Amino acid sequence: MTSKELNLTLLGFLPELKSVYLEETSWQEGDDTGSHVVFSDVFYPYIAEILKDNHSAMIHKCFFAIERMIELNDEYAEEVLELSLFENFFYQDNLQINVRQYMGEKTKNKYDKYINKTAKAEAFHREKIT
Amino acid sequence: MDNYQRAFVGGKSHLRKGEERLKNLENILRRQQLNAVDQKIIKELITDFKKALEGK
Repeated sequence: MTSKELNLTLLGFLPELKSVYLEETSWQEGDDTGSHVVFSDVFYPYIAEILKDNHSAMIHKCFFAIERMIELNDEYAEEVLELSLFENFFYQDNLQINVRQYMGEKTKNKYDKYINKTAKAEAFHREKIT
Repeated sequence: MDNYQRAFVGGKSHLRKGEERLKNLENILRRQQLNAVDQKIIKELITDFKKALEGK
């Protein structure tokens, strides 16, 4: 899957992102703007905001979209979700406690694997520097 | 890239993320109205990203 295909898939699930998406991508490569950038700079801030506001319907809509994107079984889509969404969830202390409860089963599975992998990598890093 | 780097950054996956972010920073430098301080910061970030992506 290309960045363009993944970006348009995201917009297909969440058309309410379109104005901020256009604002962010119009001065970059348009729909071909890298999905890591789009998911980090458009999708993640949107989720963080609705989580902060506890906007239940929108939260469920976002996590439904994430679950469907995981079901695409596409390597690039999974990489983007893991590194540009889960990574942000994981490193934001105020979010990581809350996000898992909204995840679908496949998302939880991927997220837990991501956390385990990251914890192992961080332990490796700590061992290396001590 | 040694095993330590592979384990810590996740190998190839993070490279693609880094490349996309580098392009984003270059776009910011070219297309956004930046003051001198911000320009300097972005240029330094671009240099750092390029070095990191080259494994330096």
